[in-house]
Amino acid sequence: MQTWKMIEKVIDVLMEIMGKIGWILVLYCMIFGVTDVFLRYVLNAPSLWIGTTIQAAMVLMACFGGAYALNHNSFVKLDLFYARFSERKKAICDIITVVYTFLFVGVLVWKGYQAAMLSIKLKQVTPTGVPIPIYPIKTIIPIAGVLVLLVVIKKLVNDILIVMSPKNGEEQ
Amino acid sequence: MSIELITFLYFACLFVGLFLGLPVALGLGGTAVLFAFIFEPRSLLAIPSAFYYTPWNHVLVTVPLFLFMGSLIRFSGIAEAAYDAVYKLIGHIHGGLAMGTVMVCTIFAAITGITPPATITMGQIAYPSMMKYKYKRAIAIGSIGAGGALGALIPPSVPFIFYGLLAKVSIGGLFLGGVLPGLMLASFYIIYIGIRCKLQPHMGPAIPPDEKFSVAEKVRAVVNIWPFLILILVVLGAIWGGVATPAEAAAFGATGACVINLIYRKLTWQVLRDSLETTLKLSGMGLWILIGANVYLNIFNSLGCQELVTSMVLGMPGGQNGILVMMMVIILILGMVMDDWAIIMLCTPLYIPIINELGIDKLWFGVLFIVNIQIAYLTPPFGFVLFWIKSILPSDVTMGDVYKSVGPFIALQVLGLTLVFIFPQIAVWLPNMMR
Amino acid sequence: MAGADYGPPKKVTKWVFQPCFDSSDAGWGSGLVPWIKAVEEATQGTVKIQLEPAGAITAGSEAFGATAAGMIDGYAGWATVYGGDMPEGMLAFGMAMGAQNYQDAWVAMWGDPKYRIGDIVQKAAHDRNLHWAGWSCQGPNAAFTTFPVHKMEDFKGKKMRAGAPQALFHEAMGGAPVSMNAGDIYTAIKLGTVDGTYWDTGGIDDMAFQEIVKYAIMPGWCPAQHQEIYINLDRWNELTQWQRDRIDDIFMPTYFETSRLHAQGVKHALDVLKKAGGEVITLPAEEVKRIREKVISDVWPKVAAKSEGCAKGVELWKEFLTDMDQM
Ligand code: NA
Ligand code: NA
Repeated sequence: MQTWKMIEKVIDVLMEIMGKIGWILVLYCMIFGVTDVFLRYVLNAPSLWIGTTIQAAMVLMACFGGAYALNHNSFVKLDLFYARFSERKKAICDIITVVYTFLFVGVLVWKGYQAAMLSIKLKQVTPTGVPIPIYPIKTIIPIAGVLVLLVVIKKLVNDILIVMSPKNGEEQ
Repeated sequence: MSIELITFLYFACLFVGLFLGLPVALGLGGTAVLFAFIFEPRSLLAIPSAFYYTPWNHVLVTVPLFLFMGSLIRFSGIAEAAYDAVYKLIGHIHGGLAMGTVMVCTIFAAITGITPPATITMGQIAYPSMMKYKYKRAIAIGSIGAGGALGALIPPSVPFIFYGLLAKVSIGGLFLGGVLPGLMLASFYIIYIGIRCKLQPHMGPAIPPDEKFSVAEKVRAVVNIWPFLILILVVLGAIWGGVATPAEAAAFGATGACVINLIYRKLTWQVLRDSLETTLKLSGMGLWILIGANVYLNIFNSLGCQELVTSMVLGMPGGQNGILVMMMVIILILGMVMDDWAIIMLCTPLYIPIINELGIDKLWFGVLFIVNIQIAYLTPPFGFVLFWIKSILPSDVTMGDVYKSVGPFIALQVLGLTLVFIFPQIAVWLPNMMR
Repeated sequence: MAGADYGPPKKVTKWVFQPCFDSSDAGWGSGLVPWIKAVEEATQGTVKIQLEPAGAITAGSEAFGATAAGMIDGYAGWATVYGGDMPEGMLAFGMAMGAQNYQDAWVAMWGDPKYRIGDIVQKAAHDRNLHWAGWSCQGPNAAFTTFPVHKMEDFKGKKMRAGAPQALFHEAMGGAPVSMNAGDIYTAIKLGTVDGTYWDTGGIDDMAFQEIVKYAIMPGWCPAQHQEIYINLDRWNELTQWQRDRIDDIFMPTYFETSRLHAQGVKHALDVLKKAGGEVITLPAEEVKRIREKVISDVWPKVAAKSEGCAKGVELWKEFLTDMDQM
């Protein structure tokens, strides 16, 4: 139990770091979005790389922001019936549906790794005026998948603990 | 296994997961992976592919930026100023505060691309005030909900951007198309509140006669809303003045909100942190739903289900209007159980080939679509706006109260949808004028 | 090779193709569909191709890599889209102010053994587990502007929406290239955010550009823009020798057939522009030569720098243009 609390803490800290990276990405999009217009409209010297890097920032936001949001339970649920369930019932549902999550995120990691390897092999860059390498971004995708898996496992263990704990039983 | 059965199971599998409380994004992705595994394993590569190409989209950057702008504005206090102006100007007529709520929401809608900012802000400011003056919950909650939903219809609008991207329709044109239907609905709400409270003054009593304001006080109250006007000018002016694209205008709006908070001395570390946190949580979640929906559709196509759906819808009786009505009814029904992102991502790619086949104006269809999406925000049991309202109102307000209060407003939305359907000019007149 | 069993196999091979564009693009009806028909006929129905629009199975920008990885069997698109995955494609797409027309382009790429630039592209494709199997010329990728252009200097300081190679060209002209989503171009030109766009001439009416631009500047930055078709190399090798030979047979006839179809599309699009009150400005030969000299010194080296194959190809292109007395 003590060990688990520690592991849980480590995962939470990791997700907060992801969150901080996400903040920087949001600010990057804002500041450079305005800069791009300034360069084009005022200086008549449009940048050939800002737009592309903002797109890259959006992919990274999906990578880091996704794990962060999931850890904070911000993923929208259709909790029509679910909201009325007891803690224990909710945990049981979560344990059943985690199969979907493992399938999705598992394939994201597995196929994401293959896609990253292909991208490295092709030395993929953007077909833009200033070519931006794509392969580092594609390499981060399976890593983001692993981060999300950590959150999923954390939630799964907590659900199992709820189901096994007699205090939370519905009968009591 | 027949394609009909596979299609059915594909939808059934998704909904079983969702009803068991699985997050929408994971349900979409998980179902897609399962079916790809069984029927078309090589298409599994579509999963990392969608994870890359979905966010790799310049226009999508509007999502975090408009969210950031809305969050900041919530902390700036300028919404209070706007509400104060309404209170001093029309508080003395029956239902005035609720009508004013709709007006402030309409202005809010003109600077944000999504619904939560107006809903959350007005829920926090207008609701306590209306309760103080003995408004009935039905009017108070309904005006906040319906007003908040306008955020998606009046430009700028993230749902229009999604639709425009998928349907390849000019986003600027769609924005213009949403203006008149949005203003029309806002007037419907105001007229409804006015008549209802005139006939039943206990629904929304006028503020007591002893709370009178001088002309100077009223003028000052109106002048105080200048930051709103500046933001509108910055965002819409940047687009229509030829300075920036919609994506860049969102960056302008967020920067403008920062500057306004700075002027109001509200740009504390705490405010910045809270705003960034909200932005990232909602964007992270939203991007994952988009990715999930793309994965779901890519596999849907790989399995060959698209042709089945297209031929089914095209086979509807009643000709072109029959098909259109059918499409709208499907969105309405989906709207009861899903929300904007999911519906737009699911339906647009399915509908657009049909719309092209029939030669229907994609701009008009887009406006119909988003008016309908707006209804989805309010229709029970599942509506984003409903959940936002529930989450910010005092805990003695039950979900049942919320559901009951939105009924008349949903009826007005359906009336608006019908009018845009019968008179396409409401949607296409303004875009055609600007061409 | 041509043994006793050289002939149509009993087994029917089914392929799924997804290009980087959808059915509204000129490349669909005038390029890819005729090629597919020709393949199915030449192989006597032993190869059947199912065609999906961009976005159906994966995004247009991802389709090239998806074909290399075997997720889909075939791809069609422009090197302006897949150039980041395979820079040698630029040699096939068309160089800035390169070949004047499709006949010339054919000679340089395949027709004359002195150049055979196509072999460089094919080798690059094989290195990426792909086989180059189809080609089509779409006519000029021209400039569509709200300002007249009679000489190179008229581009100076003008903001033009431009993708990668277009941006390099526009910069060389002293202009300011702007990157922008295709869906935003109409509004941006209308409102004056940009002064025009580079675009595939045959496709301007699909984008309703005739409503917002005043001039078509011919022959644009690339007088002969091309689109390529690639097949996953494993799928290609799984065919019988007979099937492969039949598909190789139609490479050249479909090139000329579809290039003629595209040329008609270009003529039609320019008619639409003229009918809407637009003006087509064709730059005089001396001016084209001046611009060519400028881009050969400023833009071509950037293509050559991308890979060894590109460097070799650019040299061959130079040689070809010199021999044609266009330099
Ligand atoms: Na809005
Ligand atoms: Na709903």
